Amino acid sequence: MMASPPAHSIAGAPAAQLDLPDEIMEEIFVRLDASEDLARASAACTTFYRIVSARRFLRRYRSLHAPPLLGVIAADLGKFYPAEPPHRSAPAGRAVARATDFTFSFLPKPNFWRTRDGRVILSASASSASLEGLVLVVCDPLHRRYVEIPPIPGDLVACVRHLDSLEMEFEPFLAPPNEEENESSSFRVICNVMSAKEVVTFIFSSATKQWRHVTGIILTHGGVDATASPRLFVRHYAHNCFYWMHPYNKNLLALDMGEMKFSFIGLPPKIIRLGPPLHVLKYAIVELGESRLGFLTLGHSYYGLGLELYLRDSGADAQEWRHSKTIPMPNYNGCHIVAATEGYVLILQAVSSLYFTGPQYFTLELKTMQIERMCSMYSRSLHHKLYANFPPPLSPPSI
Amino acid sequence: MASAGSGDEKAAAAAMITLISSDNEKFEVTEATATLSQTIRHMIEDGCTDGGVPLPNVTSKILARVIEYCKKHATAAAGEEGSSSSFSDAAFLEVDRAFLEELEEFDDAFLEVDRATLFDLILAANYLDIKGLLNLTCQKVADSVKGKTPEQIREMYNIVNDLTPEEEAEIRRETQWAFE
Repeated sequence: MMASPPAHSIAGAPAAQLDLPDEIMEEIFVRLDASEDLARASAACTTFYRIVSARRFLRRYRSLHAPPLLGVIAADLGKFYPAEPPHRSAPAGRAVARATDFTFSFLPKPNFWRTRDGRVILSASASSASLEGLVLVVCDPLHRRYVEIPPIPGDLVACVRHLDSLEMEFEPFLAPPNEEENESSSFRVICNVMSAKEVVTFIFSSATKQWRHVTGIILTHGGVDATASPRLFVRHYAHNCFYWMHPYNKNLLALDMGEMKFSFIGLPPKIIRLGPPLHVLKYAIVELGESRLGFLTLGHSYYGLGLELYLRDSGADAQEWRHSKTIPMPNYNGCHIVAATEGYVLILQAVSSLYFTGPQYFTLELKTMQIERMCSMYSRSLHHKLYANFPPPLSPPSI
Repeated sequence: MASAGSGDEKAAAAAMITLISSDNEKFEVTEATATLSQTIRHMIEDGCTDGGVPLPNVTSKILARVIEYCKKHATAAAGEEGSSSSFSDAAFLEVDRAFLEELEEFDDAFLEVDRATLFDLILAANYLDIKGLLNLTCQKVADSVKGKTPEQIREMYNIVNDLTPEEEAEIRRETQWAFE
């Protein structure tokens, strides 16, 4: 074995000065996994601060490191609940809560908006009986910026298909950013226009500033009871596909973002036997590993002792679901799966336990299958979203 | 022409390249070792390595270490290629693991240098475009600042704090979450 001189062994050697070109300092900083380490390093001198806070560097950092989960955006309240100690994100969560305007007071009529997505899409809460009346805004509450989205042109809807306007529902949400969008601050908004029988999908690109019709599907083809309300859809995202659960459907509705096509995927047989109606807040579709799709269910009171995980390969020619494991969950009774995003699942425990009083929110980290308490909050709504972001100054404006 | 071509390829496999450091020291290395550097690989492809490759940004002391790294990693790469055809899967995995462990030990020992040498190695890896070496050395510096305060980082790397008290207070306020 070659004998190397141990570090600091050269007597009288001048102290090494960290005087490397910016591009190499970037190579070093980008290898700091914890955002806390990056933030502290940036406070050492003007050069470090300048390199770390540059937008180009932060974009690269974000493309290599998933932002930490910081808290929960309560859907209808305009409120943010940061992670509470001893959660490791508690300090960062508090900082973001202080720096961010989750009441959206920077919007023209802030009381008129309601959150539609965990990131930044909002829509007016007025009864939107027509597509022309649907007011959408994409905003960045940390930097208090917003972009108004023009309404979907009426003629575009009319020439696609006849939809009964009385029973229409709108579901606007942000498309996952593609590589090009990661490099810039452009984005895409998807809007599903739903009746009890069908879904028609439109997409808006901030680059072209245009809406276009992309796809649609007849729900009754997938076994949906046409009398059921479309309102009960719960949306999940995994492996470039959106998924919706429906209480009266034996199938998941899937929207492939690559091909921009809908399809139906059968639920695990054990789940079908429980319904209908299925309690949609007992399930989540999640991404596991490179190509596996996970179906996570909270046991009904007579079924299972915690979270049940079913797996299948993602893709069109995937096989059946197979049961993978049970994740023990103390006091799983009275629990709901509220949201899932970026490798985490948000679980509400509605009943008081020995340790906590009042409704408690927990996160399940999919990589480690660890359950950790996030925060507690009282809310009538269950349409909360997990909020993951880098705290300032590591988060440049996203729009 | 065809037979001459294949003869050239055989010759190329054992071809030696001469690298010349900034202080004019000459190092003879195999092409397999030298081409771990993308910079040198491009020079070979362009046919401009006759009479040696001058590396005016790299001293003989650092070049010797860089070559030591490339030799080891080029051997490891060749060993993996060779073993894949002559071993069963299980045996291949075994050999593979042994190789990786040995390589990791080598890398750990290789990084036992003073900071000035470490920075010179980073600069050389960057200039010569040796991805593995750049990753290894940059990660070493990154690991050294983990869990450290700005004061500790300044002290460790002899960095002059050129922030005004106002700027420092502002950055400290902004990044307070990282100190709790």
